[in-house]
Amino acid sequence: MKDLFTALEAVIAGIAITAFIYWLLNFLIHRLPERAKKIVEPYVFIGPVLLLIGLFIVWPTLQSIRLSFMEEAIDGSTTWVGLQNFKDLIAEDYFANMVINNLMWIAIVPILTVSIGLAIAQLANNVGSRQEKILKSIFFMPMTISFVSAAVIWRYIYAYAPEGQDQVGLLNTIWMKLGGDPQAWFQIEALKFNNILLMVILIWLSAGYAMVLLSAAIKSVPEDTIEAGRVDGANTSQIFFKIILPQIWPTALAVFITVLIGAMKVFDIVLAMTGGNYNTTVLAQTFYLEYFSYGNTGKAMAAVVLLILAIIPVMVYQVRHYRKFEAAR
Amino acid sequence: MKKFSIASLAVAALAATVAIVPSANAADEVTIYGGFGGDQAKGFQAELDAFGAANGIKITYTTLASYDTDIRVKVKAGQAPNIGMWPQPGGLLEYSSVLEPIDGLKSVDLAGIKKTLVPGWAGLATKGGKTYGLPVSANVKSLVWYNPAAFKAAGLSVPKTDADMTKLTNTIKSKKLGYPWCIGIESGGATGWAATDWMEEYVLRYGGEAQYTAWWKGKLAWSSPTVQKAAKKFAEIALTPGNVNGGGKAIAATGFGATANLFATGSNKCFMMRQGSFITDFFPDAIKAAYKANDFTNVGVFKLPAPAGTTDAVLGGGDLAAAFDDKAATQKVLNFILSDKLGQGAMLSNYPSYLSAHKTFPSAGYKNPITKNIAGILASAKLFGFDGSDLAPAVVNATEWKELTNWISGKKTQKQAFDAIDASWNKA
Repeated sequence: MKDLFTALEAVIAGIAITAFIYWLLNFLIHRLPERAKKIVEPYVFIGPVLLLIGLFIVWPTLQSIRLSFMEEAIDGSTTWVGLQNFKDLIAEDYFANMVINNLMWIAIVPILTVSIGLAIAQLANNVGSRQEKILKSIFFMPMTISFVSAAVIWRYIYAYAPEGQDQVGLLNTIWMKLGGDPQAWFQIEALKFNNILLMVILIWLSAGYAMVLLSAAIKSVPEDTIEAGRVDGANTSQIFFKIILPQIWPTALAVFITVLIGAMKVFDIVLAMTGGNYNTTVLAQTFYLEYFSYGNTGKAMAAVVLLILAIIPVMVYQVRHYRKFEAAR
Repeated sequence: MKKFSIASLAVAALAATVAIVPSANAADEVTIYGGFGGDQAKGFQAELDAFGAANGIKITYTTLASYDTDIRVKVKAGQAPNIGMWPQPGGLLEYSSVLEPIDGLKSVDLAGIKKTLVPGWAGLATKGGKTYGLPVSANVKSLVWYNPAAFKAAGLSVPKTDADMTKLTNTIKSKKLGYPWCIGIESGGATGWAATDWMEEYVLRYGGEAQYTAWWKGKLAWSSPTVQKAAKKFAEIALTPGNVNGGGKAIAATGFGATANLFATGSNKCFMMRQGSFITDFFPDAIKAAYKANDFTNVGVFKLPAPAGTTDAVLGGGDLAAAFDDKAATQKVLNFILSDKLGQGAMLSNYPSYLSAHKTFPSAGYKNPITKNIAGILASAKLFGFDGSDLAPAVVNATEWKELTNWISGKKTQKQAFDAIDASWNKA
């Protein structure tokens, strides 16, 4: 209860202080001569946001990069070790496997998420508005669940008990109904099957998000373009692939990239389900292990830097594409 | 006018933020962070309150859910407590540069505490001849839990020797009564830790104190004959077909706290489970309720017997306390929690499974006969071995978890897995 009040106090105080700062800045610039005011005003209002982004995003990122070349002792003192952290990370016997896993997450999760979201959005668009609302709510629901809660649910789905015992796991129950023997799913490494089982969870979580955005995009496709297609004799699939899809492409791409970045950073699902055992480890989980469990700050930061390096091109592409699209409008 | 009222509101808000910044610890306030949770934390705080009231010290205990990772963040953020209690003493020594050696704390009766501790406990967290941590609680791992009702129904008796235990295992199999052993090592991100306990049990017995210590310090390799012998013994119990339902694959996928089959009645039941004293918290609800009401129809325990010709040893663990500063109040509180006085207050009525690491702790305090039995096993141990993987550096510990899981689930051969553990010492 005390914690709750402290939290409430902090929120209220935070808002009040922010309001006060803006009021004060506004008050001060109105005292300035008109010309100076015009120049200063935008920066004054952008300033605090820039400061916060700098403080909580840019500064920690720079710190991470710096620390990736350091060895940090428990008391916080650091020594320069050059590229040693990166060399250590790459020399790990799991490194190659981890990179393959990350690449698989990137290659599989976004494309399936967008495809499934798109399919649901398009199909839901055709069932009548009442049913559409219900269906969309159901598909969106997983989105509201945190990764770790989702992992708990899916642990039950993938649970395993040896033959002769009650099966709690949904997947094994179905599998045995089909005549199979109970399987310890997470231990099946053939074709990276266990990794794919983990990816299913992220797809389940984010397909609803993709659906909502794509559904909105589909609805904003001008009716007359579809009408024109119909008049020219296009069938349903032609209308979808040749008329609707090109018009919602920018949204699809934005969703794709958001999910892609999410898949690159995936960590909680792996930690909660397999803990990286049976060759399911990923880059972000290595960071967690090295930093929190082993206390190797430098090596953990090296993993972060690799992740940043992998994400930057994707973000550059996203920003560029967005600009091009804006310019074309 | 309006503008001024906004300004005064903001000033009030500023004052409020100042108020929520926690004040620095006063001289007579002591904070303790540790891994005790639930009823144990409640009992601990009650004893601290009583001691604090008598000495004019305000003592606050806070549970850190995953102590080893959380304390790291706290210390780096400059929010270290006055006293920390490590469930894994291997981690404690990593902090020796920011901890106060207990030898230097004048108000802590180090010699007296050492004298009353069960042999083997005083030297767990020492470095450069200085003591940094000492135990505040103990737990015993060399325990085999069984269901007396199931034993009686099947006409089985509790084994006294290792040979008896092997015979019992074979009888259960040949009479098709069920499975002799319940073993599970799954534990999310920490899967495999339960397997390290099994290895420790037998390295301690086959190798004795000197080899056991050399082993957890990384000076005796996993490829050495003693460790190989221990692995053979463990594999004989765990991986012999028919001993555990589903074999190694199932052991790796079954939760360490899955006790239901120990109390099952069907043909899938299992008869023996080697696990620490904490496992009573993982019993099915009905069994747990009966156990708390002192009904022992379904809960019994015996000491894991030592193979013929080996040391009759006991494996266990515990939480070790260390001081981050040397102020008078910290020293006083530390002296109290390290002594055999801790546990004599409200601890046992809150948490009946609490065990003291002191041989002088009055056993009359243990109301629960099973706890009393376990305390007896601990106090009478000819050799006590502290959980070796918890003493090893964190990276070695985690590698042991992972590689033993790989071995048991059949992903790697024993040699591949053990070689990887030996190699992990290079990363420590």
